[in-house]
Amino acid sequence: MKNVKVMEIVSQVKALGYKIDITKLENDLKEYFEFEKEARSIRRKMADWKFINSQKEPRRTALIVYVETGDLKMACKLADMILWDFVELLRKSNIPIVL
Amino acid sequence: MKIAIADTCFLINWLKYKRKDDIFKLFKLIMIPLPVLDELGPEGRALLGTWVIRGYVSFIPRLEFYDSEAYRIIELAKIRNLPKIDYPEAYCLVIASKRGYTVLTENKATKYITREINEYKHVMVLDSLDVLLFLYGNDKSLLVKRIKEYVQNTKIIFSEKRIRELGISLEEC
Repeated sequence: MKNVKVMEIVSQVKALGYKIDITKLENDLKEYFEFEKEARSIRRKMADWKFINSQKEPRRTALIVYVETGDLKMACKLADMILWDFVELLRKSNIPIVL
Repeated sequence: MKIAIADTCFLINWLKYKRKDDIFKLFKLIMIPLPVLDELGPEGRALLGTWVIRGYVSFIPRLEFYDSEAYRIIELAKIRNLPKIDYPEAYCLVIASKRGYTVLTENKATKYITREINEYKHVMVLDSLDVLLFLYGNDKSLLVKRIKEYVQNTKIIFSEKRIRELGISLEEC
């Protein structure tokens, strides 16, 4: 039996009018979970926390959101910056983009 | 040679790479949706200018009839709980699907969508590591050298798993 999370996603994706490959979805969910775990640990370890904590809001929170989630667009929106400038801020904060 | 369409997260990194022009060994033209330009800022647009002068880049205006499909993709990424996809990225995927372009993006959500959703399985999506692999993958020691350069120029880190899967180690060279 497929797990509840997978079936929930499948049903919502179908409601949007798309056909989804369930096996690929299951593999990707697992792969992304493992990738994000590794990436988060790298970001946490390398980040210059002194620099991050010295930033004014909302930049400080946006940087922490990026470290914890890896969601560049979301963090960028929170910082209220254009993407190019936010990536520069990541570099100054020593927070790597993990791919 | 093929045509690619690039989104902001790809360009933000690739434009900082000292061998950025090598990408035109793979693609004759890179299409850039106009909404992507807004996210590049003055510095990014200036770097892009060198490609524009040489005719390597063409801009795509926002075409309203692709809007509803782009918004459906944004919704899809939310349902999948993937990293956020914004309009410019979703727009790249829609255009690529309709016109047979390759998508250049660092956003994992785009890759997952083309793997899982039948309607998008025909779209090829490459991130910077894939591009480096296509460019230099025939020679493993050169590939390692170029990946190291790319990491140094962009401060990007590639996951250990992906590097292992390529059968290389960045400790080499």
